[in-house]
Amino acid sequence: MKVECAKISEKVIAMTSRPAKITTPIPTLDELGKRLGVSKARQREIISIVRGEKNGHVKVRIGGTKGQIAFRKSAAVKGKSGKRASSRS
Amino acid sequence: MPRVVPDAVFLNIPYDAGFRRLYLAYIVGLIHLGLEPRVTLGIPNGARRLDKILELIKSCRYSIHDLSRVQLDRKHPRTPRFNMPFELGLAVALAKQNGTGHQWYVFESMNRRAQKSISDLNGTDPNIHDGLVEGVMRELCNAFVRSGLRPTVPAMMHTYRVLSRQVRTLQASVASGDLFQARLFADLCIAAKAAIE
Repeated sequence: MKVECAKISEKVIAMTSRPAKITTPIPTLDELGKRLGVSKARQREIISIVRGEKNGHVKVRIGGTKGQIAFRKSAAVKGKSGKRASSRS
Repeated sequence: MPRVVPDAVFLNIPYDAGFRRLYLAYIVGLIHLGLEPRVTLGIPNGARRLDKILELIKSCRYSIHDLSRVQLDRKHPRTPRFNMPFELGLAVALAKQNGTGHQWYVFESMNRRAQKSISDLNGTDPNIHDGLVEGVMRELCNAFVRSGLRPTVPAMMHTYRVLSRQVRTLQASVASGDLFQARLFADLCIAAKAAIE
């Protein structure tokens, strides 16, 4: 019985302590979106949010809840919260 | 038996506000490694829930079981959270079956705590992340080694910062106050991928 237990625990060690080697190709954004069931339109929306931020832009809403959404340089938006954005950058 | 997706990772984690940062860290880290995280968020409560969880685990080549928050909750009667160790048990049983090739990993924040709380796993080394975002990423890189170009922890941290700044915007765009929702989970994966590219 003891020998059996030792064998089992050896197997457990072998299964968990070894790092997994990943050889599958890295999925593209499109492939990942498809697998996760995210529509193309939603993907584009998410990309614009993330990349806008990445490029030093922030998302601002122009007028009301159904207003346009524009991306402006973060520095340009500073201190102007609540004011209408006049142009796209 | 569902088809096993070779780069899918079943993420067995707690869904609570205190785990928010590590939740994002897991998403970012796994996406950086070219893996596809999968969670139980989309599975409704009900009689078939357990079957669906089991199917989800079976469909994933790997599973990560974060036991760092298996602790007594504050609500009366105070009870420990058994879901994570329970699902770990399912994954271990699955890995024992011939031909599945399932690989499971235990993540913890404190060294030696898992040996105390779940002594059946003595002899295995949990990945200790110290409850830190950087620790999660470090341990993901230790658990999964990609052939070819390997992502670095600083690169992952950069993506994490970009994503964490956009979480509120993403939540607002789906009118969700709750971060732990199936739809938002998918959005966060896409956002992480977009930030990497």
